[in-house]
Formats: sequence, structure tokens, C-alpha cells
Amino acid sequence: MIAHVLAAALSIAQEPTPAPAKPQPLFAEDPSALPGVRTLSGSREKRYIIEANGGGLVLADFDGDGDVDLVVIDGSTLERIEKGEKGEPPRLYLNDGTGHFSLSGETWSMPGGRWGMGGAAGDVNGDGWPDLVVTEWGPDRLFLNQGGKGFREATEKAGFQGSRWGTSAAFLDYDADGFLDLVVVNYLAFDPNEISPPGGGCSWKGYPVMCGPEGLTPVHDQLYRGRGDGTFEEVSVPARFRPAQAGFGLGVTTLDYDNDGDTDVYVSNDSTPHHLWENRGDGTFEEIGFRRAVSHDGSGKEQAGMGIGCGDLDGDGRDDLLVTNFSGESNALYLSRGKLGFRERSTYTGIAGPSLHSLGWGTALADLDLDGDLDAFVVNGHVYPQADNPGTDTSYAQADHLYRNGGSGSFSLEPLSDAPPRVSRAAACADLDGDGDLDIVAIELDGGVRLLRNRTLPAPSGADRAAGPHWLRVQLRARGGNRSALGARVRAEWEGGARTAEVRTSGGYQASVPAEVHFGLGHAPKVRRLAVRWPSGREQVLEDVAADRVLAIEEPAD
Amino acid sequence: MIALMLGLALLGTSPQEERAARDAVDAALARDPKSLPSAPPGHWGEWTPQAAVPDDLTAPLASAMRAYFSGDYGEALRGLLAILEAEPDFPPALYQAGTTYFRLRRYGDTAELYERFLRAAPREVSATQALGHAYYSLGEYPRAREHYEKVLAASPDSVEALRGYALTRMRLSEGEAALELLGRVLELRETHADAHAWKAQILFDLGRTEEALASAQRARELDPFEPRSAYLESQALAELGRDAEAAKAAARFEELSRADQEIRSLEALLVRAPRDLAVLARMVEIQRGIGNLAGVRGLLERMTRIQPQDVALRVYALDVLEAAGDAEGAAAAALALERIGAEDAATWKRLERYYAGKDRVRQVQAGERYRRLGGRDG
Repeated sequence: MIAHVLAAALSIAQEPTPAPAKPQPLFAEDPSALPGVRTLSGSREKRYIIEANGGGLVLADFDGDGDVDLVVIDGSTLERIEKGEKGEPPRLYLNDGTGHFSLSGETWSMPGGRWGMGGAAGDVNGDGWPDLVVTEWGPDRLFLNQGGKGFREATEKAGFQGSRWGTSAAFLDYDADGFLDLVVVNYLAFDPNEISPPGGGCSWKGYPVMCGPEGLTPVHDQLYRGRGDGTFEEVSVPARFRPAQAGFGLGVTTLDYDNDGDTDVYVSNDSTPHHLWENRGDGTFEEIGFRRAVSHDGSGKEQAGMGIGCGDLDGDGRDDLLVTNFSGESNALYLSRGKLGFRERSTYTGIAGPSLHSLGWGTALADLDLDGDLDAFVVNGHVYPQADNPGTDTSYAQADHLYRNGGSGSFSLEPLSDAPPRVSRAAACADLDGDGDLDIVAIELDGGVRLLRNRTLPAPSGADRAAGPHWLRVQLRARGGNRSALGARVRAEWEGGARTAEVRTSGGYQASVPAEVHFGLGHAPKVRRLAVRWPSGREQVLEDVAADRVLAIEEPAD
Repeated sequence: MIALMLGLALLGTSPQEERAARDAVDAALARDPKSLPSAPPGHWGEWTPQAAVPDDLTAPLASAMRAYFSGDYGEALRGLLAILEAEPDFPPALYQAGTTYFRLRRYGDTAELYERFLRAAPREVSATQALGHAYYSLGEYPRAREHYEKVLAASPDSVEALRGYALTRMRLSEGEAALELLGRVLELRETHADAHAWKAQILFDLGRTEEALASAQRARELDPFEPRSAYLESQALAELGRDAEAAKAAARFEELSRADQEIRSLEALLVRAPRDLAVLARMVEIQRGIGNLAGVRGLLERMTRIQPQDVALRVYALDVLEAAGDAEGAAAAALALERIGAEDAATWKRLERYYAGKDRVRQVQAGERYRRLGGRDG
């Protein structure tokens, strides 16, 4: 009898038990969102560094219909350059409100430049409509929005100087005159006739690869002061926006790191020290990256510095920074201590180890799961196709990463979506389908532009969401020329949490995001207190703000 | 001078031979070591490090080791993989190939070869701390920890295993445990500059700034050319409000860091062109610029190993060491030059100038030798 029972027990034990359901990744790739949208970036072999960085993404409501549209900045090939032909034009894709995009009509069409890289959107002439700046390997360009009906190129009178390799760009109002100013980050002096192709001596893990950036010449970034009429004056030198050593600039973010009311600038530089530009409040800047411990990793090593995520990770009201890096380096998380500077805490927060094999580009710190704290996403992809050779410890195509904030200062790595690994570059994050959670759009090098739809909240809106998670999007309308209130700070306090967010459009790496702030509120159905510090310095407090909506706030008159 | 040396470096092999050699090295670099044949289980069971190397492997192994020590990792790998093809899992070749992959920063391949080495020679675990380093570099911290523990069980005083174990514990967010292990490293070898630097970093992260500063300063005393300790010193000083000292340390850090970055970039070039004297000469200039005389000497030795009979190179070495104020190094270089350039008049003219003010007798002898070889004064 005992033997019989034991045998039965064993047979039960040997029966296959159902596997626990695999948790669904937070995002799903939606191939129907941007069908057939592709970009060009030189040869697939990546013989030169110019071919490796990919194009850019600019998110803004260009046609004023209340949803977020997308400009894709496209590249070229060296063959076209040799023949004197233009690159692929930047293109505007209009959102139908559900996160499905279609190519805009003729009035929005833009001619190709030399080789497009990144861009930014901002109202440079005070007409209330977002205009577009495109950075290029070549002269940067400006397109003025014609009242939500189309673009008109205004590069000639814009006042942009020189013909460099621009990467990221960011609008800000550094001198608080109410007109948008512009930072353009530049990479390096590139001339294919002066750079060795693969086999010309540059190697990585024993394999011949394209050369650069080490060994090439970095180029200074540029600061333009806006006149409010769609024209700019380069003020890099008089504003002391000129470091002792130029860096190989790739990413930029604006932030008020010391919370003194003016806008500072952080630039991630590839293989050279990053720059933190402290706004001195008198129209000049001072480079203090080393002093504030954000120029290198925690042991004083320059890293590859691609994209930048910026946000208040720990709810202390200060912006923290995440910088994505090369394979073999880890992504660097710098936690702010305000005026005292930053501390690199990648190891102790769980960011370092899991990012070691990946080469990160587009990123953001954002509340992706709406639980009230900021998470991070990073899209990855190597620069060398040779990464697929034996022994490299990495690969050319790489999975996208989600670093989910556990709420206690540590992150756990999860796959961002169930999409296969890709060679990703720029990425930008916004609520593209209007359901309240943040979606991501990303460029695949030599491939498509992908939309990763957030599955936290079910679209369409209007479903029963009483249990949450809840959210709030805040759009500010400032008085004066800086209508979208770049540089304003919004602090939200709700049952169980609080966080500060700054209005910025810089989106990490060759990307720009809408001028608004987004809060995930967990199960809190309202924000108890919402405090706005306008760029003018005016303070405004709203109480008991209902969640799950886009809240537009006008700056009150005196 | 550099162009001359580069020309000399290329003498002696035809373009076809050079191409064939390059192709063979490229094939070795592109090979997945998992494809190497395996020996039957237990085949090397009796092997010990003291065992004689089979006759037919002595020369190839020595040649591969020479290539390795001259920094020609591609050629070293080519030779070692050929040995492992002929004699599967031959432990010394597995071990050296693993080490070579580590130098190439190919950590997965390092782990593959060391794991095979351990299967072939399981008693030699105490010599495999580099396997822990490889797991660490791959971000596989639990595996690294487990392996370091095995190495330390066999060899509790292995300084490098203790150091690697400490860093692994740090990566696992166990800062206090890491500090304790680094303390053990420093008990065993107080002059371990890198251990002092890591200790400084962990202490700084833990907010123990005064202690971090002391450790960073000790690391700098021991290795004044390592940028990391200057960085940590500067950060700690700034945190303590000692701004002027912090700025001084920061300036030194920036100088060392720039040099370090350029050297790393040149080292990447040397992987595919290990005999490129122009690249090595540039590295000499960088080391000289930051005052690293030991670094200068090491590079000059490496250059002269590539072209041991090259008189112009010996003159260059003497010029560099003399200009750098390295009296001891210059004296050794002068003796080497006397030997290599004994029949070259220009050599003796240079030596006459070198000995002037140092050794009157040798100065005169050098002058006589110069004239005897047909040199003319004036």
C-alpha cells in the first residue's frame, strides 16, 4: 500500500506542471504605426564613422491638432556626397491621434541637406507654432512652421555658422529674455579623404574596423542666442560656451542642476570628458563637469557618452543623469547632490553590470510603468558590424533594455519589448497614442523607424481606469516668447509620492521630445499639490488636480 | 628618423610573405576557439607545470611566447592555436592562449580557454585567477565570485585573486566586504597601487572621504602616472573643501588622462601592427611628456627587441633617455650602442658627445674610434 502511494506520488511529481506565465514586456513593437519608414546612413559595411551614427527624431505637435507628430531626420551616403547630390530629406509624419503616422503633404516637405543627423523643435519666432532645426554633417538648417499648415525653410537668414558635423540640438532660454536660444552639439572634423578606411590600421578586439573618434579632431559645440524672430546670433565665445578642450559631442540635455532658476546644459562627449555648463546668470557659462563629477565615470575614465536621460530619480527635486556608453563600459548613472555635484552610482543601483555588453544610444528617464518613480529605457546597437565576429563578447544587433525602478533606489533589467535585437540609434519617448502612458519611437540603423507601444494602459482612452495606474500630463503656456515654458519646473505631490520635472525638449541622442511633463501617479487618482515655477520666476500652486488628463496651464498675469 | 625606422622595420620580408603572414594572423583572430579539437577525457590527467614540453612543441611554443612578450598578440595566438590544433588541449598552450585573449579584451574567449585548461589540469586552479577576471569583465559577477573563491581555497594568499574577489564583491554592492578584502591584499603587498586606488574609490563611495583621500594619495605615491588615483585624490580634496589642492590634482589628472587616452588609442593600432616603430615612438614621446621614465625605458626595450641590430634605433634610444634625464637608462643605452654600432663611425661621434663631461677617457676613446673609422672632425 505504501509502495503504491509512493509510486502514485512520484508519478504526480513527474507530471509536467504548467510553467508560470512569462511576464509580458512593457512595450510591444507596432509595425502598423510607421509602415515603410526607413532611414539611410551610408554603407552597411560602415567603412567610415560618418555612417555609424544614424539619423534623428523630433516629436512635437506641428499641426496643432493635439497629438504628437514625428519628424524623421534622414542621412545620405558618401557616394552621394562625392557626386554632390543631396541627402535624403527630413520628413514629417502626422499622427492620427492613435499613434499611427502618415507622411504629411507637400506643404510640409523639406529638401534634403547634406547629411541629416538630429534636430529639435521650438517656437523660434514667437508665433505659437513649433519650428524645426535640423543638424547636419554640413550647414544646420531651420524650417519655420507656417501656422500649422507647412514648413518654410529659413536657413539663409537663421544665422547658423559654419559647416560642421552637428549631432544633437536643444532649445533653451539661457538668458531669460523670453526668446528661445539653441545649443548645437558637434562631433568631429570628418573628411573621408583624410581618414583611413577599415584595414588602415584601426582595430577592435583584433579586427580591422572603421577609424574614430579617437585619433580624429573634436569640434567645439555652438551656442546661439535667439532674437525671437527666427534669427540667431552665435555667442559661443562671448558667452564662454567654449571649453579648453573640445569633446566629441553626441548628446545634450538642458537642466537646472543647481536649482538656481536658470538653465544649465549637459553635453555627453564620446571618449572625451563630458561637459556640464553652469549658467552664471549673466549671459555666460562656466564648464564645471569635472568639479561636479559628471565628466568621467566614478574612477576617472572617459566613457563613450552617447545618449542622456535626465530626471528626478529619487524624488529629491534634483535632476539626475543617465549616460549611455560603449560595450565593455557600463551606462553611467549620476545622482545629483545639487550644487555639490553628482555621484556616479551605476554599480550600486544595478545599472552597471547589466549594461556592460551593450552599446547604448537613445535613452530617457521616465515613469514608463506609471508607478510613481522614474524608470529608464535604453536602445542599443553596436557601431561595428564586426561585433558579430567571434570573440567580441557582444553583437551588432542588440536588445532594447528597460531598467525598472524598484522604488528603493535600485533597478532591475528587463527586456523592453519582445522585438528581436536591432541596431538601434536615436529614440524618443512621449504619449503617442494619447492613452496616458509613454510610448517610444526609435531608429534602426539601415532599417525602419519603430514604434514601441506601451502596454501599461489599454488604449483607447475612456476605459474604466478607476483602479489606476494614474497619470498626468502637464503642458505650460508661458507669457512672452518662450510660450512652451522651457526651463519651467513642476513639482507634483500625490498620495504616496512626489516628484519634480522640468520642461525640456532635449531627448538624449539626436532626438527631441514634446515640451511637457509627465507624471505617473500609481494608484493615486489625483495630485494633491502641483507647484509650477515658471521661467519668469513666478510661482503657481494648484491643489487637488484630477489625474488621467492633459492639463494645460496658462501663466497667470501679474 | 621615424620614417627611417619604419622603413627598416619592414626590411627583410617580401610583400607576399607579409600578406601571407597577415592573413594567417587574421584567420587566427577570426577563429572561434570553441572550434578547436578536444583531447579525450583524462588525456592530460598526469600533466603538471613541471612536465617537459614535447620536442615538437618546444620551438612553436617558444616562438608564440616571444610574440606574446613583444606585444604581438595576433602572432602569438596564431602560433598557440596551431599548437592546440596539433596537440588538442595541451595545457600550456591553452593557458597562454587564454592569457592572450585576455590581452585582446576578448573575455568570452579567455573564459573558454581557461575553462578547458581547468578541465585538462584541474589541480592548477590556483593559477587561474584570470578566469575570475574574465567573468568579472563579462559582468558575470556571481560566477566570478565563485571562481575566485575556488582559487583562494587553493591559494589563500593570491594577491591578484584577492584583488579580483574584492572588486567582484564591490560590483555585488558589498562595499564593506570589498574593503576588507583589499585590506588583506595590502597586508600581503602594501605597495599594490591599484588596491590602494580601488580602496580609495570604495571609501569615497561610502562617504569616508578623509580615508579615501589617504588611500588615493598612497596610490599616487606608488604609481604617479596612473590617472585614476589623481582623479580620486582631486574628487576627495574637492569634497573636503580643499579647492586649491583639488585643482592641482585635477590638472595632473587631466594631463595623465590625455596621455592615457592617446596611449590606449595607439595600443589599439599596435594590435594589428605590433612592429610599427612610428607608433611606438609616439608612445615614447607621450610617456616622456608625463615624466614616466620607466614607461619610456620599457617602450625603448620593446622597440629594440623588434630591430635589435638597428644602429639608428639605438642612437634614438640614447637621445631620448639622455633628453629625459634618465642617466642610468642613457648609460645602458650607450653601452648597447657601443656594441651594436661598433663599426659605424657616426655611432662613435654620438658616443663622444655623450661621454663629454661624464667620462673623459671614454670620450677620447670614442673620438679616436670615430676617426679610425674614417670620421672627420669639424
